[in-house]
Amino acid sequence: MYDALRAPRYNDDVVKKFVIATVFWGVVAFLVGVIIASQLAWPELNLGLSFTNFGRLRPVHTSAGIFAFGGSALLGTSFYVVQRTCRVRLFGGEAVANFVFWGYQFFLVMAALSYVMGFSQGQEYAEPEWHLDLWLTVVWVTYAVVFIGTIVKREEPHIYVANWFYMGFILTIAVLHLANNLAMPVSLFTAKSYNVASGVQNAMIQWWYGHNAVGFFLTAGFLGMMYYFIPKAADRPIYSYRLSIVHFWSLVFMYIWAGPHHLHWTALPDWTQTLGMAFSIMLWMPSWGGMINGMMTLSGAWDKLRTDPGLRFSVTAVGFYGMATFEGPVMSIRGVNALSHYTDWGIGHVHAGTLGWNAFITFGALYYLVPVLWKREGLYSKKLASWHFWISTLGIVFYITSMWVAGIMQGLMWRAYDALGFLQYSFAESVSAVHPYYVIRMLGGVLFLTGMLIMVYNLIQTVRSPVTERRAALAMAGT
Amino acid sequence: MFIRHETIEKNAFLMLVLTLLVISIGGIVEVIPLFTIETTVEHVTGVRPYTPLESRGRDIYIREGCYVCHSQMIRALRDEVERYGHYSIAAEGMYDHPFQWGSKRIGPDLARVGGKYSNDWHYAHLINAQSVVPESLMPHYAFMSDTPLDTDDLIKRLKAQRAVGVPYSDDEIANAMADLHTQADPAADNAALLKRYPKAVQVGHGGAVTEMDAMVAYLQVLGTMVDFADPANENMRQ
Amino acid sequence: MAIIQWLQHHSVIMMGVVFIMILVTTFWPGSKATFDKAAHIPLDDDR
Repeated sequence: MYDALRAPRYNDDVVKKFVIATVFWGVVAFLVGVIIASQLAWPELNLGLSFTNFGRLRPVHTSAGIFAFGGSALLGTSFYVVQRTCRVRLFGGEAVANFVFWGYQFFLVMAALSYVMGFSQGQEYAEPEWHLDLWLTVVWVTYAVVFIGTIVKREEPHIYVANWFYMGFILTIAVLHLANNLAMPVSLFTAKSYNVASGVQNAMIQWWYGHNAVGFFLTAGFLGMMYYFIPKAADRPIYSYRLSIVHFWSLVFMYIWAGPHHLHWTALPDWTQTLGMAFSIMLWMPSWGGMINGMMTLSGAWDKLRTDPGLRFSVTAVGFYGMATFEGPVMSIRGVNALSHYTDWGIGHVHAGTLGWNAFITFGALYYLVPVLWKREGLYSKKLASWHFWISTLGIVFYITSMWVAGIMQGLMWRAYDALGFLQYSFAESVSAVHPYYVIRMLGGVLFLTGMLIMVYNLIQTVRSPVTERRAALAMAGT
Repeated sequence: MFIRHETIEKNAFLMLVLTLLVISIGGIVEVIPLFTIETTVEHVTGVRPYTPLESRGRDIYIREGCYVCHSQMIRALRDEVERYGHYSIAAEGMYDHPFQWGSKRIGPDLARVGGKYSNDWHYAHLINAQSVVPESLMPHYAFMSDTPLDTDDLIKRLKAQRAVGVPYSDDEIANAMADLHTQADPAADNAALLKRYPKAVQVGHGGAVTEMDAMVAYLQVLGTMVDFADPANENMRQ
Repeated sequence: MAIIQWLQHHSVIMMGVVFIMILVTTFWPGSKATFDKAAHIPLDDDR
């Protein structure tokens, strides 16, 4: 029974911090995205300064989008979900939870600063230098202890499926982070290190890490979010709990193998490439298993999409998850990859997943969480949330279609032969040919950022809306 | 082994161990054999560690994030071999800590750019890419030509690379500073440099060594080490 | 090593068998009740 004298049942304070960090980093990530998209459309915008050139700003965008925006959303929602589904307060107390928050935010700020100041390990999505890697390891281990500790001392005997996915995400990211960042520093005080692996082995380890940063950070973690927030918002149990068992174990087993589809036709041995392709194609099944499980949860509750904008975001997110995880296996086929690799098609695929799936499911979770965490009656304005939904959706459509067109055109131009059997286009011709699509893509980014800013306003107004007393009273009396 | 899934769902430790087990299979099967199978890295002559100046240039290439727009991997596809040259082989990257194959071509592939353009073309291009390639989207790196190359920790950097497997000899490390200055001064006698590092390209305009000198030295050696016409490199079957 | 040899030839079949077993254990009629109860965990926690 909830006892007003005892400390409040759950540690919502750290979740609130992560929610605020998520919104902040979302704006930063999308803003930097618009800036570097503009730089690709108009190169003068690089300004010729070392700290504003595209080469140093692109990792800021990817780290801000994946680790800052996505990471804060995952850590925040995982703390919220694990407490609710285990019916117990977060393990380790307030101080440890706060350390995980401030430690992780410190890592994010330092990583962004280090790229701009000219420090990078030169491996995609693993750019932070060795000392930041060590700091992240400390924070991540603490996070794992807090999360798993909460599960161990749970009061609900059954571990809910969302926690499997969150735990799979935490454990695998730890393994990936350690193996891919083994490097020899130049000296204790030099932010420069040389990876232990080299050449083809380093390439394999990097993309074993790279694709599983997608597989476990941007997929498994967010599936944990889906498995809690969609049933909660739809007020119906997950469609098939048993399907989620098959979904979890097959996804966790197969995703690991998919890395080599980033290295098709390269100096990576053929047997590894074939393994990567085969498992990437098989991954279509567990991915769509997850989508079906999420979508079908709405059966009998589809009318809620009209009234709950947050749920509309989450369900659309699951739709985009299905699309992106169908496009992925197709692109992992050697023949298709010969056309798509190195082109903008890959960028279209990435943003179908990040904007359509990760960002949208995060928006769904935020629209649900803010009124609950700050004990408000509901969102400040559902109309604004709908505006956000349609503007962002349009932004995604602009983004993806322009990148499909630009990417496939690049691929075709690079391989085109003229009647005399010579290469038809110079590389520079393909660069100028994609300019209009880079402008459209930038507009898509502006729309997505605009939608985000609408949400920021809506959430701030929700927190400041005056219905606190009634909702708090309700919460006190209700339990 | 007929355990009901329910037992897993009720035992956090078992769930943890099983997850770790399941996720380790893929990584082990795909990564470990690359270190044990003999034919993974071809046995060819010509691949050598980077000269001190090239190595500093590569550090700058990584620092500026050139790999986000340029790839260094010519795929075994007809149009790429025709556009860029012989497809890249694993041996060419064996001393690359980290590898820089890249995954996006906003700019052209650089795996065999060495010797394709003159030093002066590279200097002009790095300072203002659009002046030589009007359609280029490349930022301007003029600041590199004004920034003197920091060589204070050059020896530490070579030793750190040696620690991860790059075979710098004691002789090469002892002469590192001298080799760096020789390679950055076109007037200097490069016989000793070329003996230690065949195909090293001399760059610079005399005077202080700048970061751009190091970058051009690195770019000019890319893809030039392996002589594919050499019969010794014939049987490269992977 | 004979065992490695055997594994190389039969690993695909073994994985298939393990997968079928996972399917059987999860969709065994007996366990339906427990899974439905588990599915309700998020729904009946206190606000």
